[in-house]
Amino acid sequence: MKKDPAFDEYKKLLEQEAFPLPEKLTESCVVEMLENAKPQQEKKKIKLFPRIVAAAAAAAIAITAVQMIPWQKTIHTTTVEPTTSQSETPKPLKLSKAAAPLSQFDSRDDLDTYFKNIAARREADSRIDGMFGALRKKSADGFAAESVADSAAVTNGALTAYATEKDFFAANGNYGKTNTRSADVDEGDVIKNDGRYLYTASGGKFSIIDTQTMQCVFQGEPEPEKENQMYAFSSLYVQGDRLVVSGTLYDGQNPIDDVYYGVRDYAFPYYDVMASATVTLVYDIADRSRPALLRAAVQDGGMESSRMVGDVLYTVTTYYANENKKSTYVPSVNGKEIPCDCIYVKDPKGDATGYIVLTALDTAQPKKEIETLSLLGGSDCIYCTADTLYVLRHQCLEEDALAYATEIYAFSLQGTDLALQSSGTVPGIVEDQYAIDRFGDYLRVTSTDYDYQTDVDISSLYVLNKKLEIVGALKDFAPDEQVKSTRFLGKTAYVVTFRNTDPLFAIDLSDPAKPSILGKVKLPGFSEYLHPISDTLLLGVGYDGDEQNANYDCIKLSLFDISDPKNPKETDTHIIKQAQSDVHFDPRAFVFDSVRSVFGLPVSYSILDSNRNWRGTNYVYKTFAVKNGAFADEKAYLRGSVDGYHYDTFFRGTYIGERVYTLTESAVQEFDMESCKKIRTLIYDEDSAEESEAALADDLSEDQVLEKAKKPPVTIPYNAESKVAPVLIDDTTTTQPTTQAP
Amino acid sequence: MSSNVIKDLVKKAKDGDTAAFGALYTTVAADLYRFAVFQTGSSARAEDAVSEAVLLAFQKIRNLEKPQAFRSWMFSILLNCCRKELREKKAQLQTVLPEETDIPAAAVDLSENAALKQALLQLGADERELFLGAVLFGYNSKELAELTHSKPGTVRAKLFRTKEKLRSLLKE
Repeated sequence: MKKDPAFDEYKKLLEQEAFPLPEKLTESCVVEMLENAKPQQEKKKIKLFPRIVAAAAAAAIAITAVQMIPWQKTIHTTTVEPTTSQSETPKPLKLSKAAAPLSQFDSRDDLDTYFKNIAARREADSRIDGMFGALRKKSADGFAAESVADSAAVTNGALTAYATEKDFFAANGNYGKTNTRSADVDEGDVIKNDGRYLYTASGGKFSIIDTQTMQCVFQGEPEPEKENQMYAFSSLYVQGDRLVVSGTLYDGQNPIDDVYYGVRDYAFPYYDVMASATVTLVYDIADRSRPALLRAAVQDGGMESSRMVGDVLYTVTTYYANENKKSTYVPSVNGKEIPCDCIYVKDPKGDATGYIVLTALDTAQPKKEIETLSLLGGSDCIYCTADTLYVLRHQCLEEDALAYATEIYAFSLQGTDLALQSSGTVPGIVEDQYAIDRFGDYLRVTSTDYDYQTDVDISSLYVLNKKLEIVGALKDFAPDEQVKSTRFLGKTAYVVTFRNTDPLFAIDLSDPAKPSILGKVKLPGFSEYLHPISDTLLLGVGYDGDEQNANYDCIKLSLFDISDPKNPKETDTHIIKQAQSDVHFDPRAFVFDSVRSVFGLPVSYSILDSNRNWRGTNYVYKTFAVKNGAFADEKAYLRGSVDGYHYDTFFRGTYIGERVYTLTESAVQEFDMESCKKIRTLIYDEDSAEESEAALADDLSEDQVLEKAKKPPVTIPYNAESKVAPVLIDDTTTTQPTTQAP
Repeated sequence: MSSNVIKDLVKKAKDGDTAAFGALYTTVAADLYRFAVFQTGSSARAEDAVSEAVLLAFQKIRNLEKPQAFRSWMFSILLNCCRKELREKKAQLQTVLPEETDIPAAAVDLSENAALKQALLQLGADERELFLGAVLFGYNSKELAELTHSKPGTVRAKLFRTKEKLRSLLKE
């Protein structure tokens, strides 16, 4: 999205409103107010307003580290060739502007000129200049985006020796794996499970937990080169005896008021996090208690996303050049600037200063060079198949009647060889990687466009050929609805839209040139995520709602019978009230065990008092079996604490054999799958051990906690009554968990 | 204020030093209040929201991991407090009617400003929230997405619409 000078104007106008602070809000009165509030607060051990703020703060500060575990049996093998039964190859349609071709700079000088021109144009922009010129100049001087660390610097002294002995996995089979978009492409996550060990990453730490002894056998905290740098690991991969840890390296050198203006070329460029690089560490973990660092790689830019195909790790980062500082013009990989012939640009006269940097690293061959490609223009979404990585970028087209477009760039992947294959554009916004799918030679996408002249949403489905030209389209299939979730299953697409009638559509894609609606079913609310449970059943995880509004304070599970796509049916629904789940925005938090036909999702309940004030969050890991087209055997694995003092940046669940594990950044709890009884608890983060213990202390007697929180029994037989909200704490009852003595 | 000073103040505030918290608060007070006034459409509600945010923040400051993030952390707390204020007035996601508002006259008042204020109040609370977050606090779409539990694409789309809406409202 282009930077909009109008916002500068608005900001200027709004800031002219120099409202005098009311007396109550002056510093002295605020301090007095806090002093008055103090005794009460101490008495209650700060437990009064439990997790509300923590949760809010976590949401605000948390590095996007979300994702997780399922087991993946390829239910619908997508290897079926799409019938081009019409034998003729469909012809491209002219639905959007010609695909954006990418060009390259002839020389480094041309690239320098590109940025200098941007700098000159921006300098001349008086609107920005008047307001932000001074600040911009200031931060340009202080902006240090040099490549921050080299391989040697991130080597942790403790991690040098190679292991000599080898552990055997408890290879007895069934355990939770990360719920990935493509069966043959792995996605990094904050937790991994290899059937015996659990791996977690949080902040600058990663931990390896042996589930047999329930001990943390290793905890690594690699030290960045400089004192005020810090790591935020967000992605783990485990491949046999290799562990890959990657995340963003934050540079604390830029103080908060050194806000850097003018470089972000999407959305709002006013605020940028500290200059950062992304670090990837590859460890040999043949001995899980003594990981040996095999390789460290650093690439400029914050971690956007990564994927692993076989042994090769593909990492995408976003890097912002500063047009006022020549040394930042080109991002570096392992300290070396990316060669000019590996950099693509859509508009050599344009204003984009953000790069996406794509690298391929062979984790099995630590000596092999890292291959790099770079694209000036940024990215909004990554979708990866075994042989192609698609970078999607949202565009705002103000000159057109339709407001948005999504550019798609396809990079072919062959081991570490990367090449730009093709590029194309579809109208509207393609929301996430589940809204795009490669099937045979065709790429299918769903998008939502918006016509701001008529104020109407336009949901469409497009089929693109290998050259990324649109060959088939089903435009505006749901009047004034927005695409909320999509699942492509072979020749059929299932799409949930939301606004007025909230249907689930089944769309036939067997003729790429003529996608058509097979059937639809209307339902209240909408699904944010669709998961195939079997060939005939589709699960939706989303929100409840009515014709007008969605209720975002709940989790709605829907089962769809898709055995007859012409007549999809919602066969069962279950609503978890006053609850949230990470699955709503991160499908990696969803776990599916296709052997047992059981799925699990982390659930956090808001704890409210009678005034509906938020008093904390209660974490429960829930699993449901799917039997005969209906939900059955609802089980709840209690994390325990209802007090909201300690908060965790993630809460996930997984399973190994007959055991269920719930994980946060500081503790792992083990449960018996069948009885839901807690077996063992491990607090493995020493830094927050005290807080964790405090937070977990309450659940020493689960039954009490449950009773106090008015929760249903641990195992809830599935019936109508259980649809009652479990955790609304009523102040009129005798017990108030939020105020109980610590 | 340099990052070291902020770090130091946060540390003191974590130990219960109200004066240190007051000093931190002062660095963001004007922005917080301005945001709350525009967001809730009322100086009284803004006062309540900011007071509550301050109390909560002081209680929760031990959870603030990165001192540099104080500003956005305060903002996220205020965001929730404003939502609560609006919810209590049953005005969530609804337009605050201009006649119900009592935004105080600003020290500098331009006719353009009056028009912008009116236009702002005709936006939905969620639109206003994103718009003010972007304009006053300079959050980008990713940060706003995290704050509002949404997706960056959605935020961008909403912001774009909001901008168009404002543009047409201001033309009227």
